[in-house]
Amino acid sequence: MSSEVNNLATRFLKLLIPEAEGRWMVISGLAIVFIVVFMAIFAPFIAPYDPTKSTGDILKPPSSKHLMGTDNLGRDIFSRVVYGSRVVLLVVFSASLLSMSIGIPLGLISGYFGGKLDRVLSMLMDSMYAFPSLILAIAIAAVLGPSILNAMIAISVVYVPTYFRMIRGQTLSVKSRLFVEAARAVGASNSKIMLKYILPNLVPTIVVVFSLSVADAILTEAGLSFLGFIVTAPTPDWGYDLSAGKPYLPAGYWWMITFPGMMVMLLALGFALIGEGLSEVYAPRRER
Amino acid sequence: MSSLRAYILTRALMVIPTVLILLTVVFFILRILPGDPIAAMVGQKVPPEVLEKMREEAGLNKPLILQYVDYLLNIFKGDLGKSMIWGKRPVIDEIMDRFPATLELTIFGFTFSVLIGLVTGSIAAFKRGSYVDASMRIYSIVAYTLFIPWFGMLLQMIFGIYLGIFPIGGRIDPGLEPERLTGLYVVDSLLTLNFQALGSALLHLFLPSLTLGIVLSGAYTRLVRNNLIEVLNQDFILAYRARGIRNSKIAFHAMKNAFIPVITLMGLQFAILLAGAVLTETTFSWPGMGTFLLERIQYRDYTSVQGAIVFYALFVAIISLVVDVIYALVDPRIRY
Repeated sequence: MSSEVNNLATRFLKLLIPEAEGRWMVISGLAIVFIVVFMAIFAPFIAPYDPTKSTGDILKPPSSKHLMGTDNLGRDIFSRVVYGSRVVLLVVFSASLLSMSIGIPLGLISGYFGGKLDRVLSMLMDSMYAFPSLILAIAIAAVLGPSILNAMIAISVVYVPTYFRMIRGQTLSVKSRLFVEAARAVGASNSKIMLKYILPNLVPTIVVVFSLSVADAILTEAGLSFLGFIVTAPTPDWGYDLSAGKPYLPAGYWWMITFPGMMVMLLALGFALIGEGLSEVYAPRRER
Repeated sequence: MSSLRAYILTRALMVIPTVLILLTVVFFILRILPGDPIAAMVGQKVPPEVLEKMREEAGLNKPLILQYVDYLLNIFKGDLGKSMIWGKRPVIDEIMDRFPATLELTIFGFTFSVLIGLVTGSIAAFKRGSYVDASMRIYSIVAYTLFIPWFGMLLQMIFGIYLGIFPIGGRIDPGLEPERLTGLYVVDSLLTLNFQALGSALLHLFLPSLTLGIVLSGAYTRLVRNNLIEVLNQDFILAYRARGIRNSKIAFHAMKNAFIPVITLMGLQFAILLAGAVLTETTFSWPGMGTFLLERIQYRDYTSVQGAIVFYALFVAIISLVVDVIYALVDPRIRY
């Protein structure tokens, strides 16, 4: 057990060594995420204008006065991009925490106890997993009605199977290891084995799955927002702002769509890089 | 009975529980989740007696268990109810009008993604460890994180608006629609030898399917690369080399073996393809299932929304069956 934890610690430390595989990915991913989180927290100090009020310049291209130009209502796009990070981070983080808090315990119980419960849960989760996530989220958001809270619920439901499947699979492989058997031999209770002996070994998996599914959830959030299921005017949100800029594209107002969409990609990329890099640090590829 | 036939039969029977679970999940979401779907969709301003009438039309006033039985029976009869607007047409007819557009888009998008994935993945594998390999790896991550509406609009801007090569929306130039046989414009125009329609349909298909294809190609790039490297290290490749067989021929055999696991990924990617198609259709004003679903949510047509989602569920189940069968046909090791 302790050797497992030590192993984990050394794997984390490996990140500091220049040769560690995947290190540059984790670092650049963390940098992107840090910048966006910083932007969200200090939005009032960074944004030069009120994101919901007209500056008087309508549809002006990027300039030193308006870094990313202005939209059809004269609002400063840079300010909207800065404030827009708030909704996406709020929705995606709360949704992911919610899906983790359902998916991880269920996966652990299902994998550990096996039996009928496991078969029923696995079939349910596999079926949900096979269903296109965005369409499932659209269905839930449509029934609940468009709002930030409902979008959180919709997105959290969609990602429960992702955590469940990964945790269940890992639990199956960890529970057959010797130290679990030893713990059972000395009379440890099931819940103790799950929480103290199996769960800590799943932490690397959880971190990787979290980063990758957050990257995916960002794209789902932006998709829902683009389709009008999250915010209404004048709240800034990247996906929503992108759809607002769409009608102005044929006339050549490229800056209305370029920047909000780029931010969606960058933030998703940040988390994807962290996830990919970490999975390499934890389990180096066999082939180079 | 051959083991292949036994496999296909067993696999086909397994579709039944999957479909039942999916339909139950859909039922749960649409009927049991807190909140009244009709009220949520129609809004609060409608008088209660109108709401009650709409509930009755959608069969929502009966006890839940009866609703559930009705819902399943009707689906198995192929009856998805009648649209609550638009002259009360059967929902299944409306879906059949829109579905070929989505099918055409997904087939072309899928083809693009596999082709791009094969090319980039093979380049990475043959140049393993080089900067080319590293940049293909970055490509596979970046492609996955491209936000479809944004990427689609960038392509529209460059190829549609500035260069003027491709149209930026719709399936075909108005008035050129080929006679409807399958509903797939490319197939219909080929069958009727209507080359003007074919040209227009292909031009309209190019940007949306390229958008979808690039976004989905990243996963194939990685998988093809890793499989190919693994295969290239196997003994039979060494034996080929020892016998002096040409490199191009070795590459062909290696790629054939590396392609088998890619088929599994195709099945897994299919859900992502359909979800991506919703965004692609919206971006390119493509009259398919995705725009149908969104349009009906906007028009508050509850039965159509339910029908579209049920249809998606059935479609996903059938595709996963087809993929598994293809896999069994290609790889003789897959048997029960």
